Amino acid sequence: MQILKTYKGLASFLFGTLLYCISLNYAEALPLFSRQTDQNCVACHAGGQYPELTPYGRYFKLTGYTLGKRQNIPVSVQFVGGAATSTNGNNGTGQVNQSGKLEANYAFLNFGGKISDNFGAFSQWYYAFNEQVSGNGSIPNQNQFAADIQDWRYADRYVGDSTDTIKDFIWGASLNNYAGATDVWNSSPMWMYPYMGSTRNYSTYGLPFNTRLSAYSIHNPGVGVYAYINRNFYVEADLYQSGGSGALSWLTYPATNSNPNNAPVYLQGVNPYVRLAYQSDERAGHNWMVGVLGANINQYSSCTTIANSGSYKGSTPICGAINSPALSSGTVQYQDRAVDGQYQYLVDPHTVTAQARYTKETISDPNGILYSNANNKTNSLMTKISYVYNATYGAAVAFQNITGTADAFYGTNAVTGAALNPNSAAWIPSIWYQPLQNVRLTYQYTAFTKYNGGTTNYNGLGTNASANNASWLYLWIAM
Amino acid sequence: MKILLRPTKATRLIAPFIVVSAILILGGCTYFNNIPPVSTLENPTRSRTLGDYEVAGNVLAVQVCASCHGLSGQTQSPMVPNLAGQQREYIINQLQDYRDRTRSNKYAVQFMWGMAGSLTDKQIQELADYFSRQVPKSAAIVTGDPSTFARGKEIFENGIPAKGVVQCNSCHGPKGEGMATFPRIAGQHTYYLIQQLNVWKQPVKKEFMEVGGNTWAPRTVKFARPHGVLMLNEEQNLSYEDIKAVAGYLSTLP
Repeated sequence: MQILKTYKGLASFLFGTLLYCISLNYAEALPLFSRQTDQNCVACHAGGQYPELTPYGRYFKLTGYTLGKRQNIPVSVQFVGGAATSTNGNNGTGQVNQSGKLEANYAFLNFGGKISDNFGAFSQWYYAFNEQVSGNGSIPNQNQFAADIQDWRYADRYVGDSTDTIKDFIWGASLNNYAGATDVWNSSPMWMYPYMGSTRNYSTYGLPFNTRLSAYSIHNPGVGVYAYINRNFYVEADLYQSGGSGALSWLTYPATNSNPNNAPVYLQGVNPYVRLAYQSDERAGHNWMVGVLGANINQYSSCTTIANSGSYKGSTPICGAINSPALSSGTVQYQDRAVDGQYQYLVDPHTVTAQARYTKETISDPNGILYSNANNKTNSLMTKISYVYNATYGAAVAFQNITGTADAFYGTNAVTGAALNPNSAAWIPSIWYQPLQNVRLTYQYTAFTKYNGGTTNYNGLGTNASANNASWLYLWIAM
Repeated sequence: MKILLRPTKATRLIAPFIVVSAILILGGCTYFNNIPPVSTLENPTRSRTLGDYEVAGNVLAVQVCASCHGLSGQTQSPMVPNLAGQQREYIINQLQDYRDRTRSNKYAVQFMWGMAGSLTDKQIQELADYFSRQVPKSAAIVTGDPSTFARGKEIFENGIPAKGVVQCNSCHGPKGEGMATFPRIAGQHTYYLIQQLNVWKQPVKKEFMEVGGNTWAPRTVKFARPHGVLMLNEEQNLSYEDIKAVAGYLSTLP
């Protein structure tokens, strides 16, 4: 990684060359993987409810997206837009009174797929329309082009005899930019329901913005290795480091220390993420998984964050560019430990899937950068169950709950309220209609039964938890 | 007087970079665009050259097909047929029909058109060799209503003469083991058998769907299995209850 930093120009050039080579030799595409394999979405996505993966979809991802024939134009696009309604500007984003106006939310650009017999990529970029880019309510919404999930893989596979102890062994390495981007189960933080949220209303994503798990928020370059044995045992370890500058900064584009709206996440050294899982065989259409995952993240804050912090107890850092890291202020240390599980029943026309994840997070912030307590703990439970008929009609409901120690400050957005704790709970039901495999119309509702510690008047200003409820009718098209 | 062509400092710095880059571009593009490592074409344990038309059938079988059909040709999902011990000629016929997009039942379109699209005749024969030589799956345990089981057995052995339905074992063999182009049906998944019997039961069934991963051009697909036209006569007169009964019975045949 240090070598790559030193030869930033060369590495960028090589990457450009790679893209050039890929684009040189291809003829048709979209959506990318479907055209690559000539198979329909349901082959890899459970009941067509992308991004949930079938057993075959997991195999496709873990073998590095290399199955099928390489495409001449390895690109596909997606569009998400709809109408959101809510009564309260929520999650500290300063957004108010969504009135059901039709709005574009995201345009995605996907490329990658098979590069060579052992290399492949899932590379997603997005253009967000009128997004709250900073998490800071005083900065207006903006349009933004940014790197979304990246997963560039090398994979190989050994297949023995069906009587061997190790009869199927997939191994590989990944360059990616989110802890868990590599995961193939939908109970992991990166890939869990709700699969889409509005740029204009963060309640559509569920639990309050500032108490979402830190492992999810590591938007940083990382490299990892993984192995999948007999299609039962999975093990993966990744290391993440700062990506604001250097050869891998494209993975976190457009975050730079001089971008006032998009500060990079600064990490101290290398930060580990580990994932273990047991995936059952399929029996009569049923399969299940249980797993554990964990991450230790030591995160510096930007000078802007320190300047805005109401709880900071350290000495004033010496800072350069507006969002440069405040290295002398120390780090906030997150430790996430989670158990998760998934169940799938996949026999056409019925698809039933369920996921759950329970996470314990400890947060140590001795200098009070983001929290006033030196130590905080949160426990969160994320669940979801869905049913799809004929890969066309679907319904899902999720329940999300978080509890934690009381603190006047939680993350960059202060917990306003009498209870001064992050305790929140939300139900997220949705129904959808998918007339074609690449067109999905969804109605999704988020109902908070508790918000930042209270159900009624949680902030002392007369606001009830339900004021943060949001509905969203949106269209998702992939081409 | 000597004129020295003296490169500037910047040129000296950039020159090796350009040379190295040119080598990398040429080498990289050549590698990425052309050369499969030929030595792995015959190696089933390690080959990833799966898109190569020269890769051996048994390599495809274990590296690709086995992902759903199992290393031993015995499947986990009831949607996916067991291939172990399947008739060689039948497998060849069906793979050719998938490749040529003439077998067009729903799962054929969604899954198999893509899988078989690039297969050569040689690969198809090798795949048929691979799966036909494997030991058939042990039969499902008899469960459910005994009278349904008896009804299935009756249809398999004697047909339904009043409706003109010929007994299955006249073509598929006394034990349902199949013969040449007539497939093995013994020990097959009940669910899969019902799906396929329904293709002939409803010969006019159509569905508006995307095919072969082409999201730009969805079209109406008429479900068909051209190598199974003999079944049309049998199935038109077979009720859905009888289809379930005979499929359930077949799944229990060893």
